[in-house]
Amino acid sequence: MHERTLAGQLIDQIQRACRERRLERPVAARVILGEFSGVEPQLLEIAFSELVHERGLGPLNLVLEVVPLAARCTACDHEFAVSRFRFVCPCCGGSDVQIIRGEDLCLASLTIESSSLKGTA
Amino acid sequence: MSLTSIALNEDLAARRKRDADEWRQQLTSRGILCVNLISSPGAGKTALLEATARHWGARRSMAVLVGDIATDRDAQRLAPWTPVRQLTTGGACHLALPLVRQGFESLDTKRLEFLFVENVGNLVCPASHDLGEHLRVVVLSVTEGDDKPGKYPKAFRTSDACVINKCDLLPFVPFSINSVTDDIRLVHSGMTLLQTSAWKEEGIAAWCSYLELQRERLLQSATEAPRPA
Repeated sequence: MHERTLAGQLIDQIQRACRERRLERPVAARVILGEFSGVEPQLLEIAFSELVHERGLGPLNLVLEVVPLAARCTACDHEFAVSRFRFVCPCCGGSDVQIIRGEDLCLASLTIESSSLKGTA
Repeated sequence: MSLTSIALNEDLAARRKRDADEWRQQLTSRGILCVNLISSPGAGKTALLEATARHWGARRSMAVLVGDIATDRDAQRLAPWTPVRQLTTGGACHLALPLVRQGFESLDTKRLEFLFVENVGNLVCPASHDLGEHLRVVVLSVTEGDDKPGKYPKAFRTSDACVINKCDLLPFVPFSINSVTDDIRLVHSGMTLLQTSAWKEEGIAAWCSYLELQRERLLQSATEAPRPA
């Protein structure tokens, strides 16, 4: 349910971006999905594909780029991949850490059939 | 046919984040501390708020916006103790900011000090939705088991405090305060931990003191913040 809502928002955002840039025919959307974004990649893909079909927007593919969770230790400045959601620095054992990657959900780019490209001003 | 890639780099949550930040700022400027309570169903959020309202009585001004999928049962429980509005989501698994703001507008908030948003019982989706709160508090009851922080890391990572509730039942259930504390520290080392039994009204004074301190800090930071140019 959550992913279906997000997929709907993603499609709205793709359509808005196309309107603003006068792009007619997106064929793929690349989305950066953080491991800690709270969104399940497979469910998002399914919901996106269902909505594209229901709204008659196809073919429009979703290309997901999942970004692993990473953090920086505030004590020793070490950057590390957070494994199994344990927010503890593997270098000094410090647990005061800041997330630096893996929380985002971002529409990174659109792939457009070049014949429909009218300008990107 | 050739294909062209157009870079966008648009954050899908940008608008929601901006709306939540603006709302938080509005509440701050009015001296209202907003607390978003999240938990599994039945952890004792409503009982905690009933006990909070009884503890403060007329000394503090609070109001509650309580979210549920259906019924106004929680609002009915709270109504004898505090101003309350039921927010019914009609199936949605979490509260969203527009519904919270709508509920807030229907309250008398002239002298309000504490606004509690009791989220829909769910440790997953509410963790991803900023409701413009100053504090997010996760309530964990001892009957749920001490393994929840590691299983629901986002709920615990994004919360400022954890209230371990139903502590009067500790002698009867396999729940270790030490184990849960260790598990929480792995996910969020800086989290404030409080132990309560809302039903027995134990630990409520410490919980209320914690909230009062957070509001004092909010007022202080609002006074110290530089004025916009």
